[in-house]
Amino acid sequence: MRRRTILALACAAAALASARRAPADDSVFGIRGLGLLSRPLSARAAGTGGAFALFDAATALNPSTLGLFRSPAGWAASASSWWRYSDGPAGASLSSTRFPLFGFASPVGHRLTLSFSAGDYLDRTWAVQTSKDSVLRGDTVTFEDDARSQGGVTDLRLGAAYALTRSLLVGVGLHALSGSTRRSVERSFSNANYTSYGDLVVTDFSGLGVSLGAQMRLSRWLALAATARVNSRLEATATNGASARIAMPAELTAGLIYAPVVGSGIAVSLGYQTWARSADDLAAAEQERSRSVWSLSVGAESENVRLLGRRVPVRVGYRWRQLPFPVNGAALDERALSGGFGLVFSDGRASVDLGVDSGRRTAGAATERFTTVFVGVTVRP
Amino acid sequence: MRVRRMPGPGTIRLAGAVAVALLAAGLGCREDIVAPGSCPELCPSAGVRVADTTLTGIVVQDSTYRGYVGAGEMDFLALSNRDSLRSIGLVRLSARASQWNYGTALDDTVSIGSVDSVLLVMNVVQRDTAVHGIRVLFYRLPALFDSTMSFAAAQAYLADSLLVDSLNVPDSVAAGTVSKIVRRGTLDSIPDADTGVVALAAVVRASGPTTLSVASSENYSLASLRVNWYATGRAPLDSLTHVFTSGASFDSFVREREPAMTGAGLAAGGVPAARSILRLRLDSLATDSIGVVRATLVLTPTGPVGGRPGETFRLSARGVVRDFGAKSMLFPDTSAGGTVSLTAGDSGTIQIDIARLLRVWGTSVGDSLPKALMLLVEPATTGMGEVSVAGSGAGAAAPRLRLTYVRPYVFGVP
Repeated sequence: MRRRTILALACAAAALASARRAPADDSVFGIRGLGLLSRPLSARAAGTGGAFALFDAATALNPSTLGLFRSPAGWAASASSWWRYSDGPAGASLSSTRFPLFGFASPVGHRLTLSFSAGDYLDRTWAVQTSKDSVLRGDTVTFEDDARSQGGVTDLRLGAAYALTRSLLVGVGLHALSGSTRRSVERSFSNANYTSYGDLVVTDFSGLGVSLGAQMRLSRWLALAATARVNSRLEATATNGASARIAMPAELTAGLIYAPVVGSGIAVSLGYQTWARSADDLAAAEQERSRSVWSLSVGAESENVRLLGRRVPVRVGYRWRQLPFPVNGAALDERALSGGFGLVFSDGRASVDLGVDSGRRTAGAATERFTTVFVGVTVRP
Repeated sequence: MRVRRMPGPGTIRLAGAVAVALLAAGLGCREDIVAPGSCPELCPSAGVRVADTTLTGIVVQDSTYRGYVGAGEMDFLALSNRDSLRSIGLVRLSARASQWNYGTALDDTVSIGSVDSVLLVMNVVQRDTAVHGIRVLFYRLPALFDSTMSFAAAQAYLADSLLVDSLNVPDSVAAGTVSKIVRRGTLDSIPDADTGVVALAAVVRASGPTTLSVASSENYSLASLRVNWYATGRAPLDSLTHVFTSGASFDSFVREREPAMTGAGLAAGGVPAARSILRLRLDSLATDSIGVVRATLVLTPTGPVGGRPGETFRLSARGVVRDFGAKSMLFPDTSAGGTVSLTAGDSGTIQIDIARLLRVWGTSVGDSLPKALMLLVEPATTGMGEVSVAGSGAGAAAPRLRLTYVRPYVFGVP
């Protein structure tokens, strides 16, 4: 047991080294507000559009799901994304690869499971280049501005789940929001008589949160799950001396899973985040006011598919969500279709899951089409 | 004042750059592609704002020092008959021996019996190709003439009776060697009292006013004026011949009007070379090592740029490491300063970009440096370029600093 625990810890530690430096989506929309809300989902949950996230132990959303682990486990996920952004005549193709989630869990006794996980919370990585002509000292000079932000806010969670009964799991998560962004700006001139200008500032973020969750099996075919989370204000302190305290939202998510056939189920989840609480603080920081947002996911999974004698879970899903930070007054929405499958090895001791999430975000005339491929690994030594 | 912007919408450049950062632990890599700036929706709320201003009254003290490089240290002799510059060259040749060694072991000696001919060789460094019929007249000077001889004093030796010969500079020779066998009876014999030393004065003549530069003994790439004596041994060894060569052991040139050691303005360059030190008082805006993108020292000339016709030279403003006045220690190059190219005859405002020097002053190292710079012509030994600019007491014409800078960028938080 101890050796398995050490192995799982090693896997998680290896993932930690990368995940801490790997912000989430590098969407161009991350430039507004606090950034783009991340989706730290396991590849399994991502394959169902997030509908199974409330019932997925490797997704750090509902701490009660940690009780599903019967042995020590470590997991990590990678996400490779491609975007095609367009806004009238402007457009670009973007891509990035990141590691948005990893974690480790281990049962302690028969009813209690403890876990540590880290996942992206806010992505603030973006880069923008603009070029313009200007008259300096009587001459037309072309300058190019390169503004960048790299980093984001990571959600570190200590989670515990307890099996009150065979059909009821409850959990609690203590969250620490941590991270930093490195903002830089550089202007270069086409005229060699002018030297480039550059400046940068590093902003550190910190905050706390608590989440509670529960999962109840109502019948052989039906289960419910819900989670609620509250957060303290997010403290932002920059190296140039500026600081801000931003109220963070309360988050409520509830879901239902219906499994009329053993090994196959359909799930739906609905979430609400009170990002409107941040509006005043953002306005004070000369940002646009945020709004509270809804999210909805519907997905299905079947573990009854076999390929070459091996069990191959397959998943599909659809999701829609609102994003809290408007773009020049235009509300930002996101919708996507998802799918995926899994491969199980060593009698379930290891599994590899693949999920694909493809959709678009729109805010007024600006549209971003995206495809993200999630690859998740779960090891139960 | 704020910088004016070109009318019309700015162009948005789409993403191009790609940055790749390795992730720790070797687990993977990350690739960021720069996103397009779709402004104002998806651009940073703050922009880079450029401003332009001119600081006046920046010079609190200035001085000109002359004599860094004298005429005798130049790598050329300026021979000129222009109204603005009348000059003659003075050359003392190294002593010619009166005998030479011969034989297999070179241990036998023979004295000069007779000089068959004398060849005068001169290297032209620069000439005015628009002026034709250039020739140099050489006059015999006392062998031990005073090296501080003035232009006026030299006139006494420019007599026909002392004329050695004239050396034509063909129109086809823009630069290079010219030579001539001089007239017999002029340099054939050297009085015993002169101990083999010959001295000459060189004067230029041409179809019009001109300046001719010939290589001096300070020139490391071209030989100075030299004389070859083709000698025959004294009888009975009159079948032996030998060539004696004497180059310049001293050479210089003197002008009808030497430049004033101090003038109304601040001088740099010329002969003897001048330098001017400017001690500045700058506010923090000028020494903001981040924000300043261009800093130009603006100087108002008090007259046309001097020098040989068509001469181009560099006027540098170099930072002072230690201010000892005329003997101040300077930064070794213009990495802490700036330079501008000038041509003789220019009369416009002189502008030298000195942002690099201001950045040095803006660093912590800069706190220990005097806020002073030296104006000098570089290189000082190869030309006669000279400039005089208005000093700190010249009111609106005094040196000023034009700054283009970026206002502090507002990153905003969060």
